[in-house]
Amino acid sequence: MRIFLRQLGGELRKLFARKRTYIGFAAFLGVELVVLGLLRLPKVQRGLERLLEGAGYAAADYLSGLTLGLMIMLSTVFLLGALYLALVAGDVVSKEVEDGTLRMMLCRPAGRNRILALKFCACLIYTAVLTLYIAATALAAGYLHAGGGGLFVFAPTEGIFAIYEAGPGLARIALGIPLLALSLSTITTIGFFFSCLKMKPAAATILTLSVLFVDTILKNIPFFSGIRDWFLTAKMSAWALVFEYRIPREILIEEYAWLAAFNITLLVLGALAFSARDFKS
Amino acid sequence: MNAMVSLRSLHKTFGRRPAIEDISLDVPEGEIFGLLGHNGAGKSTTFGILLGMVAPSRGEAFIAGHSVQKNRHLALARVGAIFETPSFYEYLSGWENLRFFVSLSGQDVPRHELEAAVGLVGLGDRIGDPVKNYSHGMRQRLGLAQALVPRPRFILLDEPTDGLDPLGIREMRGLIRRLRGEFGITVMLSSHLLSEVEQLCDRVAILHSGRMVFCGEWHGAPDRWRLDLDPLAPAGEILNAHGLRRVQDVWAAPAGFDPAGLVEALVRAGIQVREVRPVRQTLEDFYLETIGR
Repeated sequence: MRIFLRQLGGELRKLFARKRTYIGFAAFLGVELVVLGLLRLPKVQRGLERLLEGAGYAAADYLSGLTLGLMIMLSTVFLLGALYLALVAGDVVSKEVEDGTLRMMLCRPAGRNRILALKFCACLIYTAVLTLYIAATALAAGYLHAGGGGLFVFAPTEGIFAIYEAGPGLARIALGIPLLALSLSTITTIGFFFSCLKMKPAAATILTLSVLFVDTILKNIPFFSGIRDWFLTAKMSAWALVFEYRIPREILIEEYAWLAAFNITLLVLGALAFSARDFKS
Repeated sequence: MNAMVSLRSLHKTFGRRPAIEDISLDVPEGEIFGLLGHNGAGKSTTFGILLGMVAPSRGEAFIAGHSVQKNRHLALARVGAIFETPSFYEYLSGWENLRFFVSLSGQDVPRHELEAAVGLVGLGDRIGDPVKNYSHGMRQRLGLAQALVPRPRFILLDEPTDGLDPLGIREMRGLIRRLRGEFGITVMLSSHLLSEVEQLCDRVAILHSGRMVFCGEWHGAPDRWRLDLDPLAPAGEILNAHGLRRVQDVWAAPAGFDPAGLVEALVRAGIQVREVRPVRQTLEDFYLETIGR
């Protein structure tokens, strides 16, 4: 275990020593500021106020740092999260094959499954760090702009309209962040799976994004509304259920068990494909 | 002496194209062994199979008695290798690269062992620099340093002098000799620089179109002789009778060839013998002759 952790430390050092990793983090900050700017537009503000006041709540109490932070978080995760996770996970094996560094790794006694396990763990840690970073910066931006107050959540596709005081609201967000990271790890797994196959890093990234886009498009076609829950991105949205007044634990467990099974299947298939490959230029 | 490396009837087919066919050889402990062949002859495939990176279609490779295909972690436990061009993480320092690759050996390697390897390859003062600032020669040295830790019993070097300047080639040659001389490490290498192989290797194997066409001490190959006879044409029968065979501008003689007997027969036949001189055959001559060029 100690040796595995040391090897994982090396993988993480490689991942976090790359400039591109931080360009991604900087890009998130930029997009969050853009989303914050858009949320401040009078037209958008008026829309949010109407929504709250229509339900009998004082807009001033709930258009707070928490609410804006959550809105910023949701927008940036959707816009950039998938892209950066697909980029990092899609690169993690195939780029090393392309660069020849994987050959250097395979000259060592460490087995292929161990190398994959190290890389996948590093990707999961990256996913968690990125999610935490997005959440922390989004909430910080929201607080700086709007200060404290309650949380207002409106997610029509998930059927959620909820209002919380500041403390419970923050607790719900704190509960949602790890679940969001779990959901996002599905993107990581898809990228990782493609990365294990014999293809260029860019192809692995593009295929990962394609899977997500096609899934999202199909999910939103009205004819498929009856089977909406079958789609991957619908299952990945399960984390939003923590904002319901009564958290539907059974549904959460079911959805995350499904995602876990999907991820494990992809990992096994990726590992099998990787094990069967010959590495020689 | 025990075999450090044994290849047993290795076959590998990529798609429908055979890359190597029926390669079998043994490399005893402490030997410096050269694997020669043109590009595409099967050298890299053979090395790839030895390192478990390429799965053979048939046959098996053993290192220190362990099957690479069945017990790869045991077979590679004391192996260092540079397989094809050494590649590193450009944005990390030489030291960080070294530590990372060494960590994959699964052993606790003390810092002083890493420092000793760095010192041995002469990278001591630049090991903290990012690899992106390294010259080709420095990358080769770093590649060798990572292959030396933890201390191996067998080193596999694919084109270790590739791209090095003459001084670098000489240093690399000296280093490889030291590895065998001081540490008793068995070395298997491939190189297109036949003069280097000639100076370094005890034995060579020559691959041609995926088949092994020679394996052994090439110095034991039949002697070459330069003959200047007048007239030459009538001498053909006598030369044949002595087992001589024309190879370009010299003559290949069989083992146990008796030059005095040949001269005597030629003189008796009235042929003027101007020169009968042994010619030292280079590995290049031998290689080209063996692959039929």
